[in-house]
Amino acid sequence: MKLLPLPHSFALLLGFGIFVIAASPLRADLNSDLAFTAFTNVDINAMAGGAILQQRGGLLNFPRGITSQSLYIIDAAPADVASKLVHWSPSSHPELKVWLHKSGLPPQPTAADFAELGSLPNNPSVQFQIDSTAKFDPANPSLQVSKEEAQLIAATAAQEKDPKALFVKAWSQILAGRIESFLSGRAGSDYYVVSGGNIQPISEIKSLLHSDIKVYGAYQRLFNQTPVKALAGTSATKLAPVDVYYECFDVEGSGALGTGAVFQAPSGPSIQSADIEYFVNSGIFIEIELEQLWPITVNGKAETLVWRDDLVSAPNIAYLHGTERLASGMIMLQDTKQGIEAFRSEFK
Amino acid sequence: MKSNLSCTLLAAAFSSLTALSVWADGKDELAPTVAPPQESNIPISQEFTLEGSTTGTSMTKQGSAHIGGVSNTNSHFDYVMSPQIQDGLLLRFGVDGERNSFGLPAAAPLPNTLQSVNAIIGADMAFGDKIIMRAELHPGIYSDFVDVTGSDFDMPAQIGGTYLWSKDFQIIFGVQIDLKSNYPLIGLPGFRWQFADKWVLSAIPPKPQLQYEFSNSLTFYMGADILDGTYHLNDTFGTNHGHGPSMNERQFNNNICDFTEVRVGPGLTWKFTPNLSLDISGGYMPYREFDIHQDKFGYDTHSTSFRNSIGDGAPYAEAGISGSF
Repeated sequence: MKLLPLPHSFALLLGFGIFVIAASPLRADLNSDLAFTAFTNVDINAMAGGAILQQRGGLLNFPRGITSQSLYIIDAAPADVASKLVHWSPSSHPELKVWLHKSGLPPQPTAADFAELGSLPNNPSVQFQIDSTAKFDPANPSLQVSKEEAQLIAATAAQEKDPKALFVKAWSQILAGRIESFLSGRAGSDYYVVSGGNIQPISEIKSLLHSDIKVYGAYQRLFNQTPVKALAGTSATKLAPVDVYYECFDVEGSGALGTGAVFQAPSGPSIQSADIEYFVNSGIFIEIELEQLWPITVNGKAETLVWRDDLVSAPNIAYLHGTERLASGMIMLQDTKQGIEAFRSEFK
Repeated sequence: MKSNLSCTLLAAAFSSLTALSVWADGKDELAPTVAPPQESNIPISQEFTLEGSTTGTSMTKQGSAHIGGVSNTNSHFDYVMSPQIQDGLLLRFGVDGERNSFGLPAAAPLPNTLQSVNAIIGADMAFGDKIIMRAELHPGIYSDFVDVTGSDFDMPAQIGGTYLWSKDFQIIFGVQIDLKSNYPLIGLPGFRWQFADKWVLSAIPPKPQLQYEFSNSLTFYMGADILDGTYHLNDTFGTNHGHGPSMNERQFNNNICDFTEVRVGPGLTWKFTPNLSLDISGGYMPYREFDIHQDKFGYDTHSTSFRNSIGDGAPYAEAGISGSF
């Protein structure tokens, strides 16, 4: 944890006493609010200057999983931050290498809702997706698809010879189907064929969510209102997503397509947000981003303390061992920090 | 996902060694299909390298005096197991063996074999979110393996660190300590820079490389490889090679030989499974040196050096398999 060492904190108190006094009326029960997180004895005054506290995730029993937690302050009210989580587009920040992020899809999208696939930038990362689709071999799939999706690509390829048009046609239908399957609670039976076996997205989601029992406990009420619970077959979804989206982004130089849904709900004085990217077609299986937003007062202004948990399931993670895995956790923190800084810049 | 975490998959993290098996509300509505967390779990990673190489004959000199043609067949094996005992701390235990078997002209005052068999004891440690340090001791026998005695024991130490400036650029620094070497302390800086999607400049000794990632499983490179080691020569080595105590030449009995060989050439790394890689390279060996000096601490100004000039090098070929689990 990146807490200031005690002498340094003490010097800050002496040198910036007026500021500290002005910033002091914070939530008295802050550390109890954060009890489920990796952060303890948090010095909000140090964070008020813009610091981002980060912590690598723990040792997971889930070999494909890797996690990290972050804590930071945004100069805006929680409701505004929650809204921005839904409506901002990372594609406007080139350093994040998100080529397309399309929000606001209907719960039952049609292929026409994915027309932007036809106007992706012309770069090697995107070209990987186009080429992989054009050369797709159902017997040896280079993309992460189900058997039915593999057949769909093959059938579309038989009719459409232009690689880019094929890419748009095939993936418009596939992504629409994935969203519909996830939100309708039917995705529990979805399997995707990858090298080395099949991946069931719901099992990946559960494994990630169960990787930290304290976080899971804090978010269980929210999860129980989402399709994640419905996938277990226990009851219907109760909470409509505040956003349904699809996106195209870079994974190690190769493009990837994913679909996701964002769920938000109040939790006492705070707001909880869960962004579940249900299944990605290359490089990554699942990404989950949890946020909890608490109102705090800094310098007399209403601001937001943001706790964020990133959970990723990916094929390559299982093959990272020892120091490599340690380094990957460190790099994940850097990537997350870059994303947080981009998001926070949206409020300036 | 709004922000891109994909770069995490590069390496290229953890703390909860224990996990409770109860849920916060006393029931689990999600009904996991995965096995519940174990009460304790210390992950142990393993890695190994198995490699062999051979060089042609290079013309070797002592000063301006021709010794003759020398070739080398090198073989190397190591295995390390690495339990992660807590977040940011991995222990390292293993074994390492290396053998240089030389083809020599008759009466050359050089050893037929320089060989080591040693343990590896060390640790990897994370400091903050940007620095990973490795410290290792390599206690074992470093010798010509003739009449092995306690004098053949050595324990070089290596301390290295990586500063993760970004996912594309890392700074490496390392120190090797070997009290028997003519150079007991050697510092080695380096860096790794991914300057384009498929290009990496890995300026990291002893194998600096310019790499081109042809595909996810195949990488081509142009680089160098530096073999080195410090070995004890037996008590009668000099006597048996014309450098005994009663001779005019400087005596080599019970001496130390610092061996260095530099290779330069292209190669490829084929990751034929996610865990296993095959490495093949070949090229030119421009420099090889046998530096024979007394067994004492510090630089010996009277050491005797046998080496080839750059133009008198030899071709080489190398193949190896490495894996991690």
